[in-house]
Formats: sequence, structure tokens, C-alpha cells
Amino acid sequence: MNHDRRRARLILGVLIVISLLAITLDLRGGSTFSGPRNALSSVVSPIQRVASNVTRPIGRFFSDLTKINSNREKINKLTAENRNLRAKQFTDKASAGNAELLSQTLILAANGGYRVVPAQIISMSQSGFSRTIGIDVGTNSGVKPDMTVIAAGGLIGRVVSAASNSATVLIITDESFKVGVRLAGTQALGVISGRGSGVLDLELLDAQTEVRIGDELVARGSVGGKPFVPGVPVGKVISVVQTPGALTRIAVVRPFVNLATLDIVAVVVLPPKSDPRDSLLPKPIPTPTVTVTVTAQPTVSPTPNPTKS
Amino acid sequence: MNNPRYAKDAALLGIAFVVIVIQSSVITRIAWPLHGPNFTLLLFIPWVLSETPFRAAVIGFFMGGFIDLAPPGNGPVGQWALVMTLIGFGLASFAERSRDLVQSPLVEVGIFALGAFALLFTWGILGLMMGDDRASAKYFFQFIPSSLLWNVVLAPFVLPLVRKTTFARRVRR
Repeated sequence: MNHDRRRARLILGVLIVISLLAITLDLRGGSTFSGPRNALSSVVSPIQRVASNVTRPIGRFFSDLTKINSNREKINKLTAENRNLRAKQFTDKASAGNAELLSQTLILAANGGYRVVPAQIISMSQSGFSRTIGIDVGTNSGVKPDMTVIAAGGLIGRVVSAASNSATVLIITDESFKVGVRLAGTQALGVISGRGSGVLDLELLDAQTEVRIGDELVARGSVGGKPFVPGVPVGKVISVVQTPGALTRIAVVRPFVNLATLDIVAVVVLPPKSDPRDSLLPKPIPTPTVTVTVTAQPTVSPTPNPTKS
Repeated sequence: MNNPRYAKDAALLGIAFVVIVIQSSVITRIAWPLHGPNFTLLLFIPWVLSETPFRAAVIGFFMGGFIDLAPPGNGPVGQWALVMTLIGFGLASFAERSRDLVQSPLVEVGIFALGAFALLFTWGILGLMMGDDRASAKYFFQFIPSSLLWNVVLAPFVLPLVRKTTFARRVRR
């Protein structure tokens, strides 16, 4: 028994030392673990891809159910027959939805002059709070760390590591995510940071800059387009924090990308030749003006009917 | 020390790796209210509770190391390995000294909740020490409580399943 305890303590000590050594080496930077990570990624990613594809209709079905739960009226309206029909039609709907998302993403890339590699999300972060996603393209498709990742609507994140056929993307809402932005129109500079929730924090570098609700932001772009290419739409200001006397101005921003329906993304493998400036921002939908033209039609005038008196 | 035992252990670790992959590619992709369940914890904790401290530490190290290295892991390599080694060893030592207590289903769920909390909390503290932005107030006050709620609700259904497999063979020795 004592021998067992000694052996257990010894192995505990050894494993702790190995773990601490690994943490230290990894925190110091460099690529000590990129080899094992890429090797494991090459093995695990195909399994994740299959699991993700096989269970996507089921996952979406459950996701829909959880959304339905939040709305009692909807639950009352849903009958068993409706649910069965939905389940049957689900695969078709999913494919159509993916095609639409891909089309929107590719239109954004084409308008901005970005050369992209489309990708499908195959996994999400293990711990639930670290906001990373796994995608099904990697170095074989030209994807490298520090590349911009876009989705339908705008910026979604940047590649943090890439294996041969998969890559990990840090998404815009992660608390460690930061991107330099320009305020569309005024060209004022600022920095967007993730909050760990659905909205982002904007810090404008000049406290005198006027910022209003509804103002739109685009990525400023980094040197050589890494990690961010210029001109990618980021989000829209939804509230402005009044901080009298502060050196910077703070605002809350909602990203253009809908994170709830995220499934298809694209990695920008080549930055554009020229900065697309504000041209990629979503165009406001024109309000139709109804014009009614009334034209007078000549009518047959009644002819006096002479009556006999 | 016979080969079939090692083969069985390897198979069980293989199952654990599959559960981790399913957790990251299927479970976390469903839009659960309150973050959703964590089947890695639901498997790991009852497993180490039925093992010797020596074996529990090794299981924790391998499972944690797999989470650290498998995609889309982005944190420092060794963080999960260290936490799961420590918690695995601690839980197994505790269970070894109080075998009779662990036999009661209600207490078993309680110990599971305590173990899950210890694991998530230690991970957060280690993250804080390393300056990891993800170990935020939101992690401690939102993610840990909601994750515990899900796992404790599922524990009465999942723990007997895990116990009925070969994992439990060492509990009643």
C-alpha cells in the first residue's frame, strides 16, 4: 500500500513537471508544439469533419428547439406534424442556407478584391468561453497563421494556427481579440476589442471625434495585410459611452457578421491591390416611394335630351 | 500487469478521446441555453473516482494533453494536462479514503459536482496566474455556474452508465 502511494506521488510529481515545462515552453513562444499540434490536427480534423457533417441536421434541429423554447407562443403553434415536416425538410434547408451564406461571402470578397479560400466550420472551442473555431482548410489550400477570415457581412476573425487540412480561427468576440478600425466617412481611427459576448468595444484614439449610433466601421488593415486586410466591414455602433474628460472615446459595436448562423467562412489568402475604403459596407435598402399619377380621362358628356313640353 | 489490461486501458482512453472530439465538434456547436453540458467532465470525473491515484493522474494527463493539442485548442499546451492530472489524483485519493461514501448515488452526484467545480475553478485560477484573458469574471461567475448546473442535472443519468461500464470494476474490489 505504501509502495503504491509512493509510486502515485512520484508519477504525480513527474507529470506536473512535464506539464509545467510544456506550459513554459509554449508561453515563451516559438513553435515547440506546432509539430505535435499539426500532426494531431491532421488525424482529428477529418473525424471532426465527419462528425460535424453527420450531426449537423440533428444539431440544427436541437438549436432550433432551444430557440423555440424561449418563445411560448411558438411552442403552442408547433404541432407534432409540423415538427416531423421540419425534420424531413431540414437537410434541404441547411444546404440552401449554406449556399446563400457562401454566395454572400464570395460577393464580399470579390467586391473587395480579396483572394479567398472558402471553408466550413467543423468545430468550436472546447471550453465554451474561449472563442475559437476549427475550419476545414489548411496549409494545403494556402492558409497560414495571421490571415484574415471573413464571413457573410464582414470580419469574423484571424487564423491563429494552421495544419495541412485544418486551421484554428480566433473569432472577433474573443476577449483577447483586437483589430484596428476606421470610422466610415470621418476616417477616425480606433481599436475594436472582443468582450466575450455578442457585442464589441470600440475605443477611438481621438476623444474629440464625433461618433454616433449607426456609424459603421471597417478594418484599417495591417502592414502587408497580416493579420488584417483593409476595408473589411466590422460592425455598427449601437451605443456611445459618455466619458467626459477621458483621453479616448468609447462605444459599443454590434458585428455585421451574424455569429448565431455562422457556418461558412472564407480565409483571405491574398490582400487586395488597393484599399477598398468604405465600398464594402452594407448598402442601405432604399425606401420605395409610391407615386400615384392621376390622369383625367375625357368622359362622354351627357347630351341634353330635349323633352317635349 | 498483463497485456489485456493495458489493451483495455488504451481502448478506454480511445473512447475518452472520441468523447472529447464529439464535445468539440458536435456538443459545443448546438446553441444550448447556458453554455450546455460538458461530456468530457461527465466521463472524466466518475472514471478517476473509480481508479487508483496513480492511474487517475496518468488518465488526467493524457486526457488533458489531448484537449491541449487537439484542434481547435488555442491555450498554452499543458494547461489542461496539469489541471486534469492534479484533479484526477486528488479525486482518486479522496475516493480511495472514503469508498463507502461514494457508493451512495446522491453523494456520488455531490462529489461529481465538487470535482467538476474544482477542475473548472483550478483551470481559471491557472489562467489568471498566466495572464490569460479568457479567465475573466464572466468565466468564473457565468460559465462555471451554468456548466455545473448542466452537468449536475445530467449526472444522475450519465454516472450510472459510466459506472456500469468497466470503469467501475475497481470501485468494488
